[in-house]
Amino acid sequence: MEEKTLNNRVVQMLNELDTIEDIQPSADWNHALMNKLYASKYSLRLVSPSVKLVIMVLFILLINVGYIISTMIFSPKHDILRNKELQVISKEFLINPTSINN
Amino acid sequence: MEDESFILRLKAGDKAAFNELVASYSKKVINTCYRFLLDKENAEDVSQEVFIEVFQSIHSFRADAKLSTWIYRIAVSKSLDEIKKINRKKRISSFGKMLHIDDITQWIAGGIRADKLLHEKEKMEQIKQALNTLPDSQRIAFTLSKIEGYTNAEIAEIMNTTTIAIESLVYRAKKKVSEELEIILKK
Repeated sequence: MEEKTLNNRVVQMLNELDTIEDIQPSADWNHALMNKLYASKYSLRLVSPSVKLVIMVLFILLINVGYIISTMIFSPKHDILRNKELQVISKEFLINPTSINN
Repeated sequence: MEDESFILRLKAGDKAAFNELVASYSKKVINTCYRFLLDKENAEDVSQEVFIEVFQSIHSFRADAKLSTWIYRIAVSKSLDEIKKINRKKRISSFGKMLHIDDITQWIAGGIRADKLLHEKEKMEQIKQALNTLPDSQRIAFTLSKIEGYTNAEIAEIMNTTTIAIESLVYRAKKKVSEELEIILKK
């Protein structure tokens, strides 16, 4: 291809970029957008970051409260059992202090 | 349009405010996407994604930029993402492209009219190919400069740079596109 013709074609193609006709947003486009927005409205992504943070803090708090309650309920029983076990061991293995004197 | 009370209404989820926003910016957003993608259907889909993103992220919008600049930035970024997605797909389906399956189908279906369409499509593909060689900054500056309604100052604001830098980017982009088109046409 001749250099001049080639240049002309390039210029012509670049000019085409300038003459691209604008698109007008149609009623269908608007309707489809509203449908997509409605669909996304109820998704979690809509929740703002601050709301997400509050939900996360509440969740962590709930786990902590649950843990504290569970330790309050179960730990005393566990301690009593442990105490009883220790008493049995001490009775079986500890030397009576009076026997040392003898 | 961009006053504080309007932004507050948007942040509060006011439907009327959002409709107002869509009515004001839809044309420019669609056409911004169109100039980047050079495909009407894709541009319409991407521009809808832009407004969904605006709707979902309006809470995080801070008034350090104008609302319009923020929206156009989203439009540019979504368009570039779409271009990258398309290019990835093209690389994967290069075999189908090599066979020109779509073009052959169109040829059979429409005869002479399809021939014209094919020619137009080919020309558009060549332009896209040349534009694909540009770095993002040059592509954004060059493409936005081709859209009516964007001043260099506005493009500079969107790209967070100076108007002098925009002029230089547009100049370099035009030179590079011309060179690439020459190479493509010589083939």
